[in-house]
Amino acid sequence: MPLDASLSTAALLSASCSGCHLAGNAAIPDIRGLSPDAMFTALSDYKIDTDGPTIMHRLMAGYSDPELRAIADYLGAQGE
Amino acid sequence: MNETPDRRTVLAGLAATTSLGIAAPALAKSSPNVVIVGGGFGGASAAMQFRKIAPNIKVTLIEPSSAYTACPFSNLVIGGSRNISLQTFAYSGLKAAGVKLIQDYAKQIDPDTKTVTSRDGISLTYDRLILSPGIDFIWDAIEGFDETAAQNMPHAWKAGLQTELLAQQLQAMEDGGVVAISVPPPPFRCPPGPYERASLIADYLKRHKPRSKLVILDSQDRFSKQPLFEAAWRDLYPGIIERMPGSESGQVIRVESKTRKLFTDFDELSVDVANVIPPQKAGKIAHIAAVANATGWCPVNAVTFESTLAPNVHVIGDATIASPMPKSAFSANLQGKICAAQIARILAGQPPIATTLSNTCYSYAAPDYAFSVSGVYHNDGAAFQSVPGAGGTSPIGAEASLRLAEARQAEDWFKTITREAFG
Ligand SMILES: Cc1cc2nc3c(=O)[nH]c(=O)nc-3n(C[C@H](O)[C@H](O)[C@H](O)COP(=O)(O)OP(=O)(O)OC[C@H]3O[C@@H](n4cnc5c(N)ncnc54)[C@H](O)[C@@H]3O)c2cc1C
Ligand code: HEC
Repeated sequence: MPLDASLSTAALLSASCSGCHLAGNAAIPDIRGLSPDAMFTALSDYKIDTDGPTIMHRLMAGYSDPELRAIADYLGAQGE
Repeated sequence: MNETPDRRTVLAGLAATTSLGIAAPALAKSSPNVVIVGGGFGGASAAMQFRKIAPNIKVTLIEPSSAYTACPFSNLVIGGSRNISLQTFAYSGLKAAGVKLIQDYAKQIDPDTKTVTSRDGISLTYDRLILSPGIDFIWDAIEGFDETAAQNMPHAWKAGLQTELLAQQLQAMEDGGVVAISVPPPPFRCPPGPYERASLIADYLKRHKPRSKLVILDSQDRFSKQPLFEAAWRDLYPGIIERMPGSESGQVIRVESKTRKLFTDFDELSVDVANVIPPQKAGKIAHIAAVANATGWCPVNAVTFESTLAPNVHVIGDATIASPMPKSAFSANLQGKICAAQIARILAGQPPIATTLSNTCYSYAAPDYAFSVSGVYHNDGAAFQSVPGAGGTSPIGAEASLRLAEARQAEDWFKTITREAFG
């Protein structure tokens, strides 16, 4: 049986994002439509800024760069 | 949903298996059966996730209630700033997504025949079973506190009538009254929950009954987001909240519910409203299925959430031993999604894969004032491990604008998580 992308490593890594990000919300931004590169840059910027005040700073600090790349490629591709 | 296999295909598949007279291995099945017990944050999220990622898997959810009443945000209901109707979610969204719903209570589980039997005698066979029964109370832990006593001293730790009862008792209280919250020893569901509740009750007292006091009788010494809560209490509710920590005999060991009296090792306190949150353990069905150990909670494989005590039975949500992941709706939802994906992989003959998980709990200190704690976790070792350097709380001493921003983000989180679980 062929495996769907939704069962991939990247999909599992991205499973926690959909607990907060939903289309149409405002206080937590809508992240659909970001390209994989724009998404990767946004995630890395949170990670690098270790004194940042938001929840994203504290979360992204726990992901490796390859993990962020995989997440950005997976979610970025969905938004297009 | 036209992705689900129609009845004829399913029946044809079953007939083929029977006529050969051999039990086909699950991975060869074209439409394996997953049964889920409990339609809370864990179970409902897992059920929905299967419909999204594995249309070939037949999902049956067994849940006794006709609608779910969510605990997150129920402290706002108790504080009088939110209507309980916003806490209630029908199961129609799950039905519409193609989940088979059975409104009944799972009573027995036979791991040998892989069968769940309900109170009404319905029998369901599974290839994989997911238990997400949440918590049960250990009623005999506090002398005098049982289900009858909880009518006079509500726990409000399962949302619904108990939530409304506590809210009504607060409304009926005279100005100048004393409210007590009794906090059990850990682990319990929602570690910051009692302190969020204390804050929102203090907010209600400040606005409506300013001569009243709130006492927290705590079994714990330290607690989740303590510096943030204590700073908020100093700023917002000076003189209203008093806390007795465990080391100063804060733990309640006995109650007299009729007279609303609480007893610790050294003290006796008569109050006007008593919120007694009892010690907790995994939901009853986990004990019946023998997937709970001597701690009262369920040990699981951290990658697949399969019980280490029973094959093909997975446990998610509050019932699990997943520390340092807390017993939260965020965790239950994520565990439901991950568990569904791992089961889908296993049933497709693929190995499960370790991943990185996270949790975030927002807490309100007032309706426009919230902060958060989060963690990031690896599950590639024997258990869950916090990723060093990640997670933690909102900054201490931040401006009101950040607290307001997190209060609004929390609302979005609630909207998102309930949409994911209940459609
Ligand atoms: C006051 C309060 C505030 C909270 N605030 C937050 C918050 O802000 N953020 C957060 O992330 N978490 C919060 N939580 C925690 C959150 O509510 C729980 O962690 C979450 O509900 C756990 O999900 P679960 O699926 O494990 O259990 P539950 O949501 O309790 O669901 C269990 C379901 O299983 C059903 N069930 C039990 N036994 C059986 C059986 N034998 N057969 C069939 N069905 C059965 C029950 O009817 C129930 O519907 C809060 C909790 C409380 C009490
Ligand atoms: C607990 C809730 C929560 C979780 C979980 C979460 N986010 Fe966020 N996210 C936020 C909030 C809040 C912001 C806004 C932060 C700010 O003010 O910069 C945000 C911002 C972002 C942005 C920037 C959007 C923009 O337009 O600037 C991206 C991209 C993003 N998140 C992606 C993710 C991904 C990917 C994940 C999963 C790995 C994730 N988020 C998990 C709450 C969350």
